[in-house]
Amino acid sequence: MKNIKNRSFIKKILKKISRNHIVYIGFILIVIFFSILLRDRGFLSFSNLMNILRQTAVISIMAVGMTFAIVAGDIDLSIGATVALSALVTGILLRMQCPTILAVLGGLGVGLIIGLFNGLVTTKGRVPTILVTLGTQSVLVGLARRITNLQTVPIENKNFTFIFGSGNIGKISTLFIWTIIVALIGQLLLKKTAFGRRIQATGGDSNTARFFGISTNNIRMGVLIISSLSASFAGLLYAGRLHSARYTFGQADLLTVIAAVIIGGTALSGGRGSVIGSIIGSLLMGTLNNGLLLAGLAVPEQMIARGIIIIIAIVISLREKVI
Amino acid sequence: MKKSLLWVVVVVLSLSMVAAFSFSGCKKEAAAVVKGITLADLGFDSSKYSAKYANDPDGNPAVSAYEITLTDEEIAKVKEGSYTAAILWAGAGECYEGLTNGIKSVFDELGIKIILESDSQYDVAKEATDVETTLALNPDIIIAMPVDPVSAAEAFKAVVDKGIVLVFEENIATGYHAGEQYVSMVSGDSFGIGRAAADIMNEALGGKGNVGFIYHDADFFVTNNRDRTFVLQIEQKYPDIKIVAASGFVEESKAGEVATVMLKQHPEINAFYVAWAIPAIGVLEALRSAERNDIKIVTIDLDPTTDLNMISGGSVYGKVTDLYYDTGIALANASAYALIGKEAPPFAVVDLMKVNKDNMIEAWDRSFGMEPPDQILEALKNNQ
Repeated sequence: MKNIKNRSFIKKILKKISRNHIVYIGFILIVIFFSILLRDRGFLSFSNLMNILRQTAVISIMAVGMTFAIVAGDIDLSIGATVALSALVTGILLRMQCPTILAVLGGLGVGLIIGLFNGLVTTKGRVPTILVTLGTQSVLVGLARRITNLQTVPIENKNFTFIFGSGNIGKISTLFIWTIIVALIGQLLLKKTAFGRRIQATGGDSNTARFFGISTNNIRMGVLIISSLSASFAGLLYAGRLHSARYTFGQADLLTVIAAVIIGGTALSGGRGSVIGSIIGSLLMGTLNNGLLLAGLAVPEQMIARGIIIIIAIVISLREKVI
Repeated sequence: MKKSLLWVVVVVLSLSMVAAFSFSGCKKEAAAVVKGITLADLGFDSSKYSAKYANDPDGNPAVSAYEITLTDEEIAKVKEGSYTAAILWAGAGECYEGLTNGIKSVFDELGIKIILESDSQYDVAKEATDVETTLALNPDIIIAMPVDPVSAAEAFKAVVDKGIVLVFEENIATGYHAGEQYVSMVSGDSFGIGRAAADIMNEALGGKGNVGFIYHDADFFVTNNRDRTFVLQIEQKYPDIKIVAASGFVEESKAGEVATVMLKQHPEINAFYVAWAIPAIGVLEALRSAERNDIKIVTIDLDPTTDLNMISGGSVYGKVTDLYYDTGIALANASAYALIGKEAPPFAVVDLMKVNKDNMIEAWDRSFGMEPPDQILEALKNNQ
């Protein structure tokens, strides 16, 4: 009798863990695993840990925006191309000797326009975001290639590169500082404001949300703008980190961003999500990449390991719906 | 109803614009049929592509990579150091395997341990990430192929700052100078390969015919050199061969679509030059679909699919290959030079090899340091 009680208690705890804390536990387990396995290969050195934070920053920031889109029941497939176009516009403006602030606003303006376009077509045209953003993505990739004719734009503005990715304040990378700022703003917006609650209501059940007077169209427009803006900002950080802008920026990031958001506990079906969870999801993916590389695994094995983690995350996400 | 009408108008306008652009493109290429497209037509100065070897992107002249050798005493000196190395490639495939095989053959002899191998999948951000992660292992040597010269300048800055021996393959980071930030750059003889491809094209066409030129439309030192010297050699050495259409590709998978369009616009094409073998697979498919088995393909580098086609007397007439294994040897030797304080040449090039089915096995051995796959060996037996 006691055994049965114990077992149901453990089951309850496991369910609770899988629901709320799986990403945190997974992250801790991966860090412990690599700390033991790679103890003599520099995994736990300060510089390597800072590497992980720096390397995951742009994914984390895109994941914040994507969390909003997915919680609202949408998805934004155009973020990769938005990253490239924003970085290129910023790079071109800097090359034209525009003031840094203007170049930054230009880059972010690209995101704003793309988000507005995605939102308008989605809500006014009543087209699923997956289709709209797929189309937008193609247009943006073409634009990114055309405006510089596939040439990389060097960025020599020291203020820009320091602030947006290459600088350190003390020993802390500005990329990490930006991640913290964006994560805090995102978490507060999603969890502590009426707008955030409306996003969750829209993604949870849009009919009910409309019944309670929520303008779901405005909410969907809002999340798509947030998603594009976060991708634009990621583009600025790529440009600052690599002192250049290139049409290929962000092209390989979409799957990683979606994986980070889902691993972080955001339901693919919408209605529920966590910005902090997405950041931890991104860190988990980054730690995995870093550890697998340090362990000497070749790229195909790294891809297999990453794919397995994504599948596990999706299985857990779907299981949670049943629970 | 009004909305539907609006959508129809938008679609029709878009299609008209696309058609207008395509039509203007046709006119431009059709006009070139008369005299054949020249390097000047493509916007390049032929004097830059006339020398025996290309200079490196920093302007250093090339020497033969076979001059980079170590004496027995020097080998013993390197062995004493128990050095470690990391290899960071831009991509993956047989060529990279050939490079790695060449490097390993030297490092094994020198007692240098390879502690990390990675490829950035042509992603500049991943390249920067790989460099940062590699630094945690503190290697003595990094051999790398930068994806993009401009982005690489920042990505490899920490390597330079740490004083790690840095040797580049095929490309260098912008603003870097040999002997300062890096030791040497080693590459294939890009000018020679372009010219050799033109010579093979002449053989394929029997001295006369029309060529569709499918080039790599990206800013990449080696492929740009090969493509442009091919055009120049055709223009200067083979007056009866005309390049009647020229189009570029960025993704390898798009070359087939380029070939399809070219064939529609220029059915008079007798042969295609394709920048390298993987995109040529798409061109092969385009020829099959168009039922144009009469058209030849000349391309660069070995790969099983196009090699099999060539062996069986298909559309692939001939190839030129870079000797990647030799490049790997030169890269490893150049890094050893730096370890013992010996000055390495800033830029070195390896030989090339013209490939046909008779020297296929030797080509795989010299290019990749390996035997061809069983399928190729079997096809060679069956088509003797």
